[in-house]
Amino acid sequence: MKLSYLGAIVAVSAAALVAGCGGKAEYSVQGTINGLSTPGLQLSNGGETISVPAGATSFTFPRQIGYGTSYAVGFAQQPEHMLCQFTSINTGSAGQTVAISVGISCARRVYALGGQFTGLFTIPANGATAAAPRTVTLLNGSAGGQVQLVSPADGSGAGDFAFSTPVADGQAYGVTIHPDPKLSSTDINCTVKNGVGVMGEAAVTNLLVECKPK
Amino acid sequence: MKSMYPRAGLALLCAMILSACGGSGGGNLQLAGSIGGLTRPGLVLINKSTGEKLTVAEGTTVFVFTRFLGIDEQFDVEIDTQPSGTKCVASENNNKANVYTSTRVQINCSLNPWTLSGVVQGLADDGVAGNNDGVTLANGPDTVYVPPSATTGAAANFSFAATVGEGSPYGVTVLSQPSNRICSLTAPVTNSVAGTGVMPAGNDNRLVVTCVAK
Repeated sequence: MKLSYLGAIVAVSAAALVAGCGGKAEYSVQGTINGLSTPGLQLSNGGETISVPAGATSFTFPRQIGYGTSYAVGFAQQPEHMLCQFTSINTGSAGQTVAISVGISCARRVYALGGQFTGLFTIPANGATAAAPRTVTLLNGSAGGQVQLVSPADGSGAGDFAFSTPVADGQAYGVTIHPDPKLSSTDINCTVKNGVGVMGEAAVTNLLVECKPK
Repeated sequence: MKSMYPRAGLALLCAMILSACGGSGGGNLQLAGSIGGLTRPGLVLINKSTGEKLTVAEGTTVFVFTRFLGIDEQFDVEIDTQPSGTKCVASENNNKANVYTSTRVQINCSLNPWTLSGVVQGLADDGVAGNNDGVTLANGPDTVYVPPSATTGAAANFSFAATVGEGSPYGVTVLSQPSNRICSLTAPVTNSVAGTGVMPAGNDNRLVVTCVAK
């Protein structure tokens, strides 16, 4: 046993000497993560893939790489409901910097909220009065933005619309007619169907705004 | 009136000569800064050191006082009049003038935040474990779950955690119904839409949700 200890010490010393002579230093391929709140993220580097749990703020690949070895961190799988992106360069070769640090930032995916409207006809020209479009303004609560629908020029009174503010996956929405009477034509009554829900993993396109003359 | 012009010109000349000699009557430093979040009219800024006032329109992001400052002249920019429904706060606003200090005054404005609340009438605890007897309300992305009152038959109070800015619209809808009731918004009615309104200058507790047996 004593002899094998000695052997080990010699081996370690030899390795240390080699390293001192410019032998290979080892680098961890690692980085920081911001905003990851769902499971499912998988990162790849070369042939290696690691799973990163929800809530993680950093990652490190188990296999270290030697000086001068190139690395390229990639997304093998995006987390559920979220989109992660690199906030710093994700490729390089070990030793370019003192330590490898790849930045990743994640945010909930957002989707459009919209649908169709009908019955929104232009006020026809009458004598000296020119034709004028009718409008109705929709509100997605105090914090979800608003959208103004305008009668289309083609005379159909119908069309598609979407809020300019998208809704994050998992977030609620509740659409009503805007309470400010100045933002909608006063001679029509409009109702909103399918206006309430929770955003899923695709755009909402089934809101239906039906307008009728008062 | 005509004779006033030469006199004014003479006074200006005197002032310029004085200031060139280090007088306190003026200089060549702008007193300026930036404004964030100003969406309503009525803001008046004042430089308390000189009494000069400046009216700032809504939507403005940069302001410049007319009168120039001399080197080391003390300035103190304060809010003279707050915009309607808004509170503005000044920072980096009190200093001696030099090229570094005199153009970095910060005015940050935000709408006065008020609480949106009300009552739900007619909820009932059916006593069955696992049944969801409460109602979830949504003001766009902001939601609140309202369980039945502990006192049978009493109205249940609720308030949204997210405040609403003074003068901002809100539109409340039922996001998910109780298992044993059908609820709908009954007040306030604004622009003939129930559950919508515009936040007044104070907390709004006018929301009423009425639930009836299925």
